[in-house]
Amino acid sequence: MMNLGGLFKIEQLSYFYPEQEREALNAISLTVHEGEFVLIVGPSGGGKSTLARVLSGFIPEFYGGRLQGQVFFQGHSLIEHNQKEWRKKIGFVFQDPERQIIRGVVENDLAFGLENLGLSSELMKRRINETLNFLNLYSLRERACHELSGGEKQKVALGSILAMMPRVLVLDEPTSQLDPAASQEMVGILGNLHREHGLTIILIEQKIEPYLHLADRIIFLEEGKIVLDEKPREFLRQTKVRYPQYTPSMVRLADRAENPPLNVPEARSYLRSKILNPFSSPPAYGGTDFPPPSVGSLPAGQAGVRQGEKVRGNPEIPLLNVEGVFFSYEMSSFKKETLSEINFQVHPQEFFGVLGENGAGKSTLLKIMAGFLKPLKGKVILHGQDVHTLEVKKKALQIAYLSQNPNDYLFNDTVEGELKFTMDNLGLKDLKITDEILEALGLTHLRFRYPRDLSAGQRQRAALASVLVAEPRLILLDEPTRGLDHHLRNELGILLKKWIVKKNLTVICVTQDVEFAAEFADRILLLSEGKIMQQGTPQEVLDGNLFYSTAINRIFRGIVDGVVNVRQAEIFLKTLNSKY
Amino acid sequence: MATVYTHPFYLFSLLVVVIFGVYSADGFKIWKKYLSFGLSMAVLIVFINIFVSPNGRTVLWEGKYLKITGEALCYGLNMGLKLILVLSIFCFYETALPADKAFRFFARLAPNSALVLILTSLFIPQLRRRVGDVKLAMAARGYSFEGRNLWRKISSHYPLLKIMLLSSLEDSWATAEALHARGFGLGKRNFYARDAWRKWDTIFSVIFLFSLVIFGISIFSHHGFYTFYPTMGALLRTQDIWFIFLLISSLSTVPFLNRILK
Repeated sequence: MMNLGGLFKIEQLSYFYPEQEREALNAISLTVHEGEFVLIVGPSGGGKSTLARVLSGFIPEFYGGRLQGQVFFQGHSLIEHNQKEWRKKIGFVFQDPERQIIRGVVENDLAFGLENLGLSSELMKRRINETLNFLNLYSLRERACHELSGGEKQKVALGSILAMMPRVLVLDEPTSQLDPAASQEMVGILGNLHREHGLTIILIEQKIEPYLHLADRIIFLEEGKIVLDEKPREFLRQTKVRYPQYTPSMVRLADRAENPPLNVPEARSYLRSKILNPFSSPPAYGGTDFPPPSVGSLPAGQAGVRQGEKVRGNPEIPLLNVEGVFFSYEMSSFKKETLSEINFQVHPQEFFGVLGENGAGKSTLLKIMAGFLKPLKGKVILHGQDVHTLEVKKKALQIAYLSQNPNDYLFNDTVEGELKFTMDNLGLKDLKITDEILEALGLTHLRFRYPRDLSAGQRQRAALASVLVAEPRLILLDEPTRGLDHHLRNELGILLKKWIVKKNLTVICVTQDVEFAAEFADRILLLSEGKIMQQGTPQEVLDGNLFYSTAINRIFRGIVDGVVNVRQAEIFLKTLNSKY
Repeated sequence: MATVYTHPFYLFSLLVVVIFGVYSADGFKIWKKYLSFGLSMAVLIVFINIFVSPNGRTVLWEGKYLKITGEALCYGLNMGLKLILVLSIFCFYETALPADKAFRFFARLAPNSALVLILTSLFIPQLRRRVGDVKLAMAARGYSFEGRNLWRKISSHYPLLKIMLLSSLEDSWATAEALHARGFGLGKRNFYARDAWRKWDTIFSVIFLFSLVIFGISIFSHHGFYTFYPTMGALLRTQDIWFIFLLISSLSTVPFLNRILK
């Protein structure tokens, strides 16, 4: 045993997965102190999850492979540490709550880990009760896990680890599959665990913004190397210069601020100082919230902020018409409806976003639009024809449908083979289109790679390519940004926007990612419990909401109305600067 | 019993008891789903058997290459009955014994096997959903699972099977990781909830033991078996009626009492 002065100490760690020649982690040195909140970010495939698995003791014990260098936890080397002790002290929460639930009932699932540790039944009871109360799950203790919402499932997964009372909690993108309200609840729980209970938290995330005020340090991993390890403000200063594509929207907004804002109040202070005195340098941030200058709404057309509904193409002739759709998974219409009274139109060349909580019926609606599910009542008309009456091949030539899981599409030996499979099914012969699509989606260099070996973002694009090769006019996407880092998510949005114009496409995108919808959608439909809550421009739908709003909107709220995305905010600030 | 007996009357009697058990556990709605699947498979078995088995002396129809016999038809029907019985027993376990309770009970005897059992019960609904998702993904690429003949129809499912196999392997890895994170297999387990042994458990166990004894006697005295080929044997003997009566009355006591005790 050595006294190393940190909870974790990693020295010159390199790791190779079995049968891989390229290292997943490359000469990493890192110290994590007791009670720290460490946020680990970076591009997909950069080594974040691998590092999390090393810290949790899954590597090399569970994965095998070759590990060089040293990992110490409380002064003990990883190799000599007892696995049972390691499990007691370090808890690991995964991305997908579905995969973590072992038992059928909430209470029993929480008990599973404690049973494995061999605790007495009295101690188990106490811990389970405490955990259920802490996570506000007590009323659900006897519920079947499969009946819970996504957010509740993730809380059960977290609870099952917390009940084991670890000293360190390692989480791998725990909010990536949650809706905005459930994500915010999870952020609150993590903040509470860190501040009030002194738990050491190591969090892998794609989104930086919600955790900036919680994190003690942020680590940027790229190609298996730590390229930045700084306190949040310094981290933001450096990413602004070195990795602008990963800079959070509120920092991009306050690009001249000496101290980049870490939360919405700080960003609001900066904004107000700009509006009140655009020539003075912004004041130091300290959470001061002076009265709003009430600049009011931007006039229509100014600064690119759209007022009222703007419809691309010819608004007289909609491409898709959803008319009075009702749907229930139970065959009787008397059962609870998954969707009821859904009416909307989508116009040619529109980017149409569909938002809503987990279980709101978004994916069901997408399947109905794709003609895969038949509504109980109502119909979906594409180009004047009911989509449900289209035969499979005709449908595939007109509608591209990409489900949440790209793995459902990938089974051929090469990426190019995936495209050819679709072309063969549809009797398409022109191979030039494969080159064009692979080029546009940045997959040319991967065309002969095995698709299931690719990173999450690359797999997403390969699956998208496999449906786009049919050159359809309508693209239906279900959660396309899930698992993508900030940069890839933006790239996908930009690419779709380009293709909308270039190929005369229309995109309907179901997403939990409010920032993505605000940035790229022309119109948004907000669903809740199977009913339409609102539809309109991002401004109309997202402005002033509690959960379904963007960080930018929360910054501008009460100062300038109707600003929901970075583009609008930047144009507003530019206009403001040019005025003076 | 369902796998050992071949006599149609014995099998039918067991089916009646199991259906009663399913009914007493309020699982009739679920059983209907099992039945629709079982019936379609039973029809398939009957067809396959009459086309591939030329055995039997009672010729119903004879062509140049094909001979359909009454014995092959009855054998196929009996196999179909057996399949429906086995599926109904699975349905009974699904409805009468919650997976968590089953795990609690069996985990004391064989924790690893119990875990496999519970993961399978959780995995099957997920698998069903996943098959649906993959079929949609394939349809979105213009792929059809239809075929002009049975062989084409079966071979058209190759992409689906390949994706399901690959995804199941990946998912099983994720489940194994989740088990590891919860300390499974790292030492002696303890149990959170304990089910008390009540007097009804003793009564049910005695009844069940009695049924097992009847089953054993019937097997050793060569009852419960039926000969289909080359000609069908006598359908019922007096002893058969006694065995069937004793089995039905003892086995159906459990669901009967369960219904009353509710």
